[in-house]
Amino acid sequence: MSISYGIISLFLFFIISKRWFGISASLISSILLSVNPVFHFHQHSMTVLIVSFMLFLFFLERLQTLDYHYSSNWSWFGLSVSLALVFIHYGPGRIFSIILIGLWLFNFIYASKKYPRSKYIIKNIFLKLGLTFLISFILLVALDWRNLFSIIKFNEIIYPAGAETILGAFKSPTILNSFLLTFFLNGKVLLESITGLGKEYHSTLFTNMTSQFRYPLLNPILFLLLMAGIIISFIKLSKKNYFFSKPYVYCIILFLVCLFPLFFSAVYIINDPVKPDVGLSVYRMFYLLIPSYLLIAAFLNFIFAKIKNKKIYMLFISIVFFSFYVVSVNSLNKNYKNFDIKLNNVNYKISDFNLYEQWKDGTSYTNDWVERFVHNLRHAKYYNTAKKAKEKLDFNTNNKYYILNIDTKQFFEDQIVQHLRFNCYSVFFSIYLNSFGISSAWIQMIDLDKPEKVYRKFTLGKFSAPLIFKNDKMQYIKSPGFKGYFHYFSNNIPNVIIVTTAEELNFANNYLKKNNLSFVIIDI
Amino acid sequence: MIKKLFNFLNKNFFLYILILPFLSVGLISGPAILGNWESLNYYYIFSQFNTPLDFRISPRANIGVSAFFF
Repeated sequence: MSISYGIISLFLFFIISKRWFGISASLISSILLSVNPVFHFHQHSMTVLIVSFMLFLFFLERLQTLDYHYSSNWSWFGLSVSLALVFIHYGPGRIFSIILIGLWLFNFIYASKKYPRSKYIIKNIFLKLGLTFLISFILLVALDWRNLFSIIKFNEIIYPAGAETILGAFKSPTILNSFLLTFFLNGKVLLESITGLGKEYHSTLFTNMTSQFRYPLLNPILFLLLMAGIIISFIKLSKKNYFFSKPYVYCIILFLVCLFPLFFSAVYIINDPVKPDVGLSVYRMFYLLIPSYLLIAAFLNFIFAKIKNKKIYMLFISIVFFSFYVVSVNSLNKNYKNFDIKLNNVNYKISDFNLYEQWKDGTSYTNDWVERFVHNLRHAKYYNTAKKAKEKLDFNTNNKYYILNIDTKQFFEDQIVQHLRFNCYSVFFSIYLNSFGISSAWIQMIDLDKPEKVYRKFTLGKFSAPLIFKNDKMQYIKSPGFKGYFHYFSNNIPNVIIVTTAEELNFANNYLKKNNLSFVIIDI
Repeated sequence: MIKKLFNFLNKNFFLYILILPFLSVGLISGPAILGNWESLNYYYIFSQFNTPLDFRISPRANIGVSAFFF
């Protein structure tokens, strides 16, 4: 699904850009965005980021439509829907959209004041805006009644709990309380990210984003195009597109709205006060891609207007951008391939510290935070064990079931087991086995009598029964409500069943025997 | 409304067809393992007794927003 969200995002970006800067410039900037490594990586990530990005673009498209059809009720309704959808996703989108609506209103009032009957028009716009918010809130409450409380406590929407900003320094001693130093350090990260130069805060491999390392948003060539776009936008600042629509002002404002709050991201002083940890993540910077590529489109539009009748220049520019596209696609492929090679060749026989070494990219940044690679190691182990399991399975025998009895001691302790005492080994092992084309089921042992448990601070859910470790073996804490269930994605229980504890093995064993199904147990 | 849609398709259809192969770069497969937050999200969504359907405005500021999006 995330891939389709990425493709829809590109189409929305193209539509927005085309309205302001024409087909050619928009087409090229959309294609450049599609090969951006940060965008491409998150297009393949099952997080809320890419869908939030798509919905924010939908919101921008609706807001842009109002420049042309501000009297259309459908346009306002579209804005209500987009606003409601932005609100239930990643936080920065909510803040940006509220600021942008405020600025749009300000611009509208300023522009329409010159016209006769302006008071009537402005009154009408306020009414429509009020209705837009009302419809958004009704939609949000209809989706989940608890949203009503969030709307009443509006600060929860724009400043959710756990927001990593300098304001957190009032409560937490681990957050740097110097306004200037926070601004300066975040500024350094942002400069590195936008210029693509420097390795102090960014990895040189975008695949390292799997372990929460930063990767630059733009490269030096795109940065130069962006700077040219900013200069052109300042030169053409007052140029109107239609009625009060000013694309160049809008792009600059959008860039500042997405950039400015990032300067106040929290900087942590947990481990080493001399070398603080800048918490500014790629996730928060991700929204900056939109104004950056819009500004690039602005510059391209300027160039195309200059060389409109000079076919030879047009051809030259087309060749340059096509080459850039080919090189970028090749680089994406190469990086993913290298990452796969690393995954397949992890040497688990060496000591713990050297295991981390295999993932480093030679920058001081990955060197300083090398322990973050534990995530790659954990999942590389699931991946490689699943690959080995695939080789062990014999699929020539029909109507046979296979119980894969996994020894979890071979895995690195997972953060979910470590902090929450939920069994996650079978869940992850199953997804990797599925990725090798083997449809598998895993068993969830659950305590139905116990209330839902908290997962990641605020979210309640019914996960696995709690685990304990006895004699180095993983066991469940049993109670009268303790039961087992199969989890699988197909219509019937797949031939391969994954078990990780004695309780799960018993459950699978009993089920297959009860149903007179032949099976073999394979120890992995 | 339908007329508008047809007009739009007539005007832009070939253009969108032209864009499609370029934008299909998204089909290049990503990393073979789950990312850090991705694994937490995957576990949250697919390891619960009942698949969560959560449309709540997330009270949290992090990327682990629980809105159903798959």
